[in-house]
Amino acid sequence: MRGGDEMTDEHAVRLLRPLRGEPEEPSRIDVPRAMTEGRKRRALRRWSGGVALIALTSVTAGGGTLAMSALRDEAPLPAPTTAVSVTPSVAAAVPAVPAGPSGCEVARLPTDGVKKALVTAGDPSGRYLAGRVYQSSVSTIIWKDGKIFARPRMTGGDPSYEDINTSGVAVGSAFIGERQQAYVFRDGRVTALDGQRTRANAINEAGVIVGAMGEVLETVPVRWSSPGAKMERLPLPAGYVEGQADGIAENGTVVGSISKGGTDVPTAYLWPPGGAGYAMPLPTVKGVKASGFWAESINDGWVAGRAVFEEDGKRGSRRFESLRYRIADRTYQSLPVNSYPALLADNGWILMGPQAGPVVIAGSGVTELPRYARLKEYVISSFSADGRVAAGYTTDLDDEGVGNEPLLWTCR
Amino acid sequence: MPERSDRDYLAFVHARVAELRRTAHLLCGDPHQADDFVQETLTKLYARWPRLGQVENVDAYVHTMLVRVFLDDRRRGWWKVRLLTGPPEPPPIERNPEDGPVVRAALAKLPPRQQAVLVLRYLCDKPVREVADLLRCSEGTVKSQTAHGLTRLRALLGVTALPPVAAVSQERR
Repeated sequence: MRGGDEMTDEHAVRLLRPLRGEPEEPSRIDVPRAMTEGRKRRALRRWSGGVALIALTSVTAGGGTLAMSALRDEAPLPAPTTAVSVTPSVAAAVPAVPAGPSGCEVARLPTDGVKKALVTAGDPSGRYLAGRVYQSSVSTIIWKDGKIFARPRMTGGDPSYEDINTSGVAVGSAFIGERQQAYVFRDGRVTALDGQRTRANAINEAGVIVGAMGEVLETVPVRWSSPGAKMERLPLPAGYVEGQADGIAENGTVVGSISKGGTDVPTAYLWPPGGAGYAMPLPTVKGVKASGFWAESINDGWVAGRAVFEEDGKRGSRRFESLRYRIADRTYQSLPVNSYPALLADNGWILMGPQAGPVVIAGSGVTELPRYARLKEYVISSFSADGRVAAGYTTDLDDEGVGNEPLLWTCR
Repeated sequence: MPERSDRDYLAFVHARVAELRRTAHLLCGDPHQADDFVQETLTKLYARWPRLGQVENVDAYVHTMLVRVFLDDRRRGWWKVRLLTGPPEPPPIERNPEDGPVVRAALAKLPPRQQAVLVLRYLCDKPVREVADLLRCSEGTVKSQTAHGLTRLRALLGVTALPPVAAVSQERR
């Protein structure tokens, strides 16, 4: 026999039934505009001195040259040292590096007449760039030496390339329904990577690809040893349930992050080639220990990113410090600019993307890159290994919403 | 290496925007306004994205944001109506209570939280516990708001007697 509540429920469902229905009109939701306006609100709240970064998905990493036996035998990994490691204090500022770039020029990349386009990735030589163009739908584009090289077609919605190497092999993903699918572009063709619900985040010169698999915000780290290889899950350390691999250096070191799920702050994880992975130690800045570190780029010796500090136990308030981490001795160094992302060149220069305009950090020197057509808001997405080529796009609002101009900076 | 934060945000939005639109549409009944609510919700979400690591359930968090955007909007409208007309006690509507626009018009006359409770429970099929979480109130409050809202809605629609339930017993899982 039904209870009174259930009777009420059934009557109520019937009463409201005429209102059931799906929105039939095409969506007017403008996600880039939401991001641009959201970014401004962040700035107003003075979080993190500008723009902020999060890894909602925790991230772990699998190495490019990681010993395959370590994957196969599922040997227990050493527990991450996050909580118990000796917290390295932040050492001196960045050591001497060559003086910053000079003679920098900015140019808009060609888009076949399409007004709105982004650069999403670049290769270490600075010759290849990958991006997106917005026509009636979004599609991808590859530039080589500043000219359109290919307009590959990726099956699925919202396609994007996240990384590309000097052979012009690009990796990325698109959405099939609500699930992501990882793809690789090479030799003029786009093919799906092995596995389902995957996304590819990075590729190195050896062709090793890393990324994530799973439902959005609940992924685990994966890798493909080559574009045609089977997907392999990367083991997470004990107690950690989520993760993703974000970047891979030429020597095979992979960086990502890991999390215990829930409200656990994700923190950076490194997988050195041929060795066991470890959580990067948490830095202490001005006497305060960070609760996490979020990596933004990696090369053979360094990881750049930001330390996360919870503000006085207040839920929902964080601040960030931009740092770089020397892998060899596991120490952090503070950066003279507090922003994100921090993209590493091999000569010690770092490209950073404050909203006021991108800058190149060289030691304690800060070189502003030229603005394009007096536009004010920039997102950077690529920095070449020699530090002479940068790429990104603008996000200023125009009459039609968010205008995106894909840009290439070249310096001497 | 790409910007992880934006990529995660976009992935989340892509996976959830259809459901957000659906919920917004059920809440307000107007497709344009529904998209405005979702647009504002996604803007707030992006502004707060850096600290969402402290949120246990991002889906629920975003739906709470959406309901708040709806309530904020409705409260403004609600107070305007009250100021202009005084406490409204309109007579029952003598039109077909199974006509969508009629039901929508009646629903819109309820206080905003009662509207939200009824929509979330009986159109979005969310259990009391979840509605309480979304509205940041107790389950008891959800139940009392439900009772008040239904009573009022029935009065507005001129549905005095409870209709037979046999035809709808399969509606709910």
